[in-house]
Amino acid sequence: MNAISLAGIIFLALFAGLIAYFARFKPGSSPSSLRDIPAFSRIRRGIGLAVEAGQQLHLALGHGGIADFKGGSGLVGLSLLERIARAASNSDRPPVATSGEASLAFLSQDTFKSVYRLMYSESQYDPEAGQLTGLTPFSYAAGAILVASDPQVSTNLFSGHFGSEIGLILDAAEQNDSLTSGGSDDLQAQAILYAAAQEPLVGEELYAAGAYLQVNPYHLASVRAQDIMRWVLAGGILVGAVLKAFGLI
Amino acid sequence: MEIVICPFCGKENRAEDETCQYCQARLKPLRIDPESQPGLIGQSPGEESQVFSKKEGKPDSQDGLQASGEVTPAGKPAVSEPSDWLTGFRNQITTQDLTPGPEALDDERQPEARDIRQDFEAGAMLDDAFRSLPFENARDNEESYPEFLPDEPQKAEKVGDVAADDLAWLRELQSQYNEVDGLSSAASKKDEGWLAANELSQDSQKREDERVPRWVGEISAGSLDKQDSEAEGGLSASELPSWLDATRPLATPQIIFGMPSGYSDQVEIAGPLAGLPGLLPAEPEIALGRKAAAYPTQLQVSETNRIQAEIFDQVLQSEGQNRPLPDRVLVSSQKVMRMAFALIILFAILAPVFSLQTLERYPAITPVEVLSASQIISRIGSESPVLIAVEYEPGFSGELDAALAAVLDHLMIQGAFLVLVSSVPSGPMQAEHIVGVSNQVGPHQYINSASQKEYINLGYISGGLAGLRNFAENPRLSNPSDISGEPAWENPVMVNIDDINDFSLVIVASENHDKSRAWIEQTSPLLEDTPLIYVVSAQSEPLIRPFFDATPQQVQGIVSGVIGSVHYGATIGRQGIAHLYWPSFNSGLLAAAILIVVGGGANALLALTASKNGRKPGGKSL
Amino acid sequence: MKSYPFVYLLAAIAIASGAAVLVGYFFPSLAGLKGEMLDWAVIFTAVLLLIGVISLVRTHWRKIMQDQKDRAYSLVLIFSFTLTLLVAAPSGPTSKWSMWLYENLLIPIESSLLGILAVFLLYASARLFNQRMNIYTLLFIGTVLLALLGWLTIPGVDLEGFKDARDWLSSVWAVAGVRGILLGVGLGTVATGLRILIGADRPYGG
Repeated sequence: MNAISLAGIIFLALFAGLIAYFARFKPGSSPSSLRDIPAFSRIRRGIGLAVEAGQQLHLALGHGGIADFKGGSGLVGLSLLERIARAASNSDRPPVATSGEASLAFLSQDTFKSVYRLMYSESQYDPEAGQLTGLTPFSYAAGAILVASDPQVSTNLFSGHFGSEIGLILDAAEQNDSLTSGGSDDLQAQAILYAAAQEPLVGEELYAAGAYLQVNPYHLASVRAQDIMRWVLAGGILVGAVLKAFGLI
Repeated sequence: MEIVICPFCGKENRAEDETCQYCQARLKPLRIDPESQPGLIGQSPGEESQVFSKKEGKPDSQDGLQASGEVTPAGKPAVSEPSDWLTGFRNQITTQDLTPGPEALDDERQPEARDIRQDFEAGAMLDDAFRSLPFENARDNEESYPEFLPDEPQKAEKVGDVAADDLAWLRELQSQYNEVDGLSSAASKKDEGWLAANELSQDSQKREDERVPRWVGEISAGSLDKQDSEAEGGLSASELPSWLDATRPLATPQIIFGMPSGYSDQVEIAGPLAGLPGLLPAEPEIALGRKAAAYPTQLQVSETNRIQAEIFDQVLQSEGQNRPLPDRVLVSSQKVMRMAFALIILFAILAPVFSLQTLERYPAITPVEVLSASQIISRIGSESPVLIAVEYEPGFSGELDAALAAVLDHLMIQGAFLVLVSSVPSGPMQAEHIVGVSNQVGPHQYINSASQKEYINLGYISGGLAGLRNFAENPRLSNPSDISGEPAWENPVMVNIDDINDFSLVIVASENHDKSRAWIEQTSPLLEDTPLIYVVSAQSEPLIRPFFDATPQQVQGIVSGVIGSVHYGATIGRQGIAHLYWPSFNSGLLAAAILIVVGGGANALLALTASKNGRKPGGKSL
Repeated sequence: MKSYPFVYLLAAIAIASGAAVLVGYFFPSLAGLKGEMLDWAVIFTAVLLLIGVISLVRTHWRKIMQDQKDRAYSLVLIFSFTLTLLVAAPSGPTSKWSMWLYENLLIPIESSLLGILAVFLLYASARLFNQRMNIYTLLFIGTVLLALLGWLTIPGVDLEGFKDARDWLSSVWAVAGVRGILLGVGLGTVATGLRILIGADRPYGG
């Protein structure tokens, strides 16, 4: 094992330990202890309004899959989907999730099924709630445009890996006068979201969605652990830069 | 401070109050003025009196009544001072017995009736005293003295003489009214108790019989139903026909009138029958005027409650109503602006095509990353295997075809053997497409056939990052055959290739920063001396640039977008597709910049206007 | 209906698989196990792609049969799928007719979508002032204009200064910001993975 591997193990162990510690021993914190992100307030409000008004909520999971680094944002989207499905389970129009990758589509269907099973309303489960709209980015966007432009859809949330084609879905949602909010791990998608979405989530704000929407206590714990690890990384970069500047490494 | 409980509402009042502060019921019954009539029954010393008095035909205590707020009619007979037993009875009634009993349920709405009843009950004790009323004095006053009364009424000297009066008729009347009205036994018992307390001797009863007119004593419940034909002069009662008899009301006059007990003891205070007790009331009890309780009629609702109630009402009313979906506006300001933007851009792009406007000044200075790429490719020998990863979607063909075509053109001129691969599902077809495009640009024709192979298409790399890693480590195992199924690694050029480092050059064409980074991360550790060049879209060039600027370099050359292709063509002295695109590209850029400035300025003005008018920005926009 | 023991079994499989791959990265002796797990992942991904295609066709077929909304688009999809399958399956995806479909249908369609995207982004940039009137919007629009002007060439106008400014902005500020964002995204991705490894998140339905 070399030094890099050792550093990696220590990093991961510290990260996991912090998550477990905050979740187990300091679970009392609430999202109010986090900095205010207006997007999540609007998302919560949008979820409530969609349920009360009998309108539909659309969650776009992107085309990233789960087998590689693009899967992180997709998994966050699945956590978000679980939270939304729980909140909107008794709505007249249950939420719909679109994805551009087969594994995400099946996982979204499974998420719906497990939520309805927990709510003892498995008969409400509709397999078409988790749609695979296309297998390539643009074909996915073309299929998601149909969902986003549905007049019954009042809120469009984006959480996953998108490319530039997210602009097409945003265009359709904007013409439908619906709330558009979300984030992506892709920088180009983030730039487009910043310009075109009503409530964009920039950078790692998407990964804090679970904490702000109170999916489970581990999400809040992981946000707090991320804050600490960010300082650790920043400190490591600074120390490394100084050492490099002085020729020590 | 002595407290008196109101018999109607049960609230506490001061002892000196005449009426209840809450429901305005009388706390103290109306009394005859003791000053004008000594021996008044039921009045305690020092108590303010509201009594009937008759002095010189005028009520003596009218001032007393008026002082308590009561307007007293004239001609009230005077009454003697109350006896001790009456006083005690009054006190008992005031503090205890006047608490609302079962019959009070009806009387709560008629506090005044209850008040009157109290007065009657208390004043019933005046009956004995009434016997001693100065009828003689009344007779002196022809206006007030009732004619039907006997000419020689006896005057009781004091209350004690009341016992001489005969109360049998009273008991009879009392029992009849109690029976008819269905009054509670409590009231009956109370009356009976009062009667028991005021039980007179036989002698006094006889004396009462002699004084009270005979017709009064003969009044009974049954006798009211039929007429005394003898008293009327011998007329016999007629027999009514059955149909007429059936129309007669079932209720007796006593029921209709609803006379409670004690009414028989009421002394009439006005009219020609003034001074007579036990008279039928001029109007039934239920018609007696009563003062309504001072309950607030308006519901006390705060402004917040009212607004919330209105909202709730609106929600309930709209619950069952179908709200039609708002019709989509076919032509909105936003759609008009989009169309305008699109037309302007389209005009700017097409203008150079039709030679309306030309901006054919090409960029002069070649970036160092483009120069480096061209120099690397210039060193590629003939038949050298070059791996080209086509990682962009068909939608980006417009930009990346122009950029990659310039590089492929150079490679084809050098005679390199092209190995095409892709981790994008549509990549193999895109690779075929770009080879065809490059064939159209230059004098070369790269063919992939059974007899002549100048390039090979290895097809699709599945598995994402893991698949890339596998291919980099062992391309033979990852993609053993080409896209047509033919063995790929038997070609003489390919036979010596075991891993990615065995290629002469690796070129990655991608529009996406993540795909570009994936190739760097997975292949860089294995690329020891094989250069890596990127052909990227302009949108991801800033993200790949750090890899070029890094030490050691992980990327040795970058050609980005149409402008990069123009520079590349300039370095090799060839004009490719990018040179054809450049005038339109340049015009489009200029038009875009102008539109952003003008449109942004207009929207900024709208936002400032909205904020001045107190509206939040984000509303109407162009 | 899934029972609780089955859910725990799923969680155990997921955690064990993730732990095996992670450990394989840090301990070379277990790299073989990691490689095996990754091979299985590659195979599963390819199979899922196939199942996804079948699911897509089935969903749209059901839309047509049940006369649902937008069934016309479903009809086009089914027709296109069938045509492509009939053309590409016998002769391969890079045959003459397959390439004809690709070059004359797929490329123009997706390029058109990208062109629409360009117009939409232009319009969204112009409208940004009305949506969010703050200093960050000014910076955003200013950077866009700088990038555009840095690429332009206008006869008689020297725009080299804009080009240098664009290069400086791109190589210093943009790269620095990108690094920070990517670090945060990386941390978030690691946190997401760790939550699945410790069983806190179960996206596989449990």
